Amino acid sequence: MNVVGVSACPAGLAHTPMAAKALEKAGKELGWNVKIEQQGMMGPVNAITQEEAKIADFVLIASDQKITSMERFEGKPVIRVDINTCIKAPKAVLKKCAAAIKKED
Amino acid sequence: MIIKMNFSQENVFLNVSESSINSLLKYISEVAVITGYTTDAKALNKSFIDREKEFSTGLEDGFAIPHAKTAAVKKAGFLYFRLANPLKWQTYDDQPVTDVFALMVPPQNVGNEHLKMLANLSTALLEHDFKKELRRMTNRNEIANFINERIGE
Repeated sequence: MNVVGVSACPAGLAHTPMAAKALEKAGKELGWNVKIEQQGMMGPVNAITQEEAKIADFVLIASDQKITSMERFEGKPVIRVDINTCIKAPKAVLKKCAAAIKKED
Repeated sequence: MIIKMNFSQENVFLNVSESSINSLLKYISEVAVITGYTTDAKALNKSFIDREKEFSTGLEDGFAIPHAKTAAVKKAGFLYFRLANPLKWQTYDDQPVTDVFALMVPPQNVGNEHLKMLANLSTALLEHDFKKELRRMTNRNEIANFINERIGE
């Protein structure tokens, strides 16, 4: 699976990098390619390129915030998940998203 | 990346005895005046409370990371509190909180090295080893050195 995504939280301080790291680590454990861009106080960190977006199976938005540059993901299935859930159970989140995408196909 | 920061033992508080999240946040805000993070304990306290109301900053394994983002913060940084009695707190694993990192930033003009340090601290809290080792330590200086070492990379 190729997964790209964006994490963002209200302060853009702590939960943003935590969710990104947790999801990327879970991705590694699953043997998937997971790259999460952090849209926090530092501006975009670990930015997703157009090319990376193009080959992604789905886009995971770990946030209830406004996300910038969503046009990169046009045509891709986008799933929004609560950021705390992503930190708490990153592997379950990734698996559930993948299952949801499969169902839609 | 080398981060020039110094988390000193003056920012470490052990055996902190508070009976509620609100009283702890008030205590943290007062301590933040002494440690030079703010001159306005009241405004800082309000920012901590507002953020906590938005959604709990409780994590798991007994950790919580209350944070304040307000112009009342004079320098970005954090304080560490170890509680004498576990506090009831909304956490991922429904466990009470024993260890608290209070994060503080002004809304603008924060140097990226400070933000990086806070991000490093936050992601260190995903690591089981970090939490376990930290908990084992009882000496303020040892704790400060350990944190510096682990998040200054």
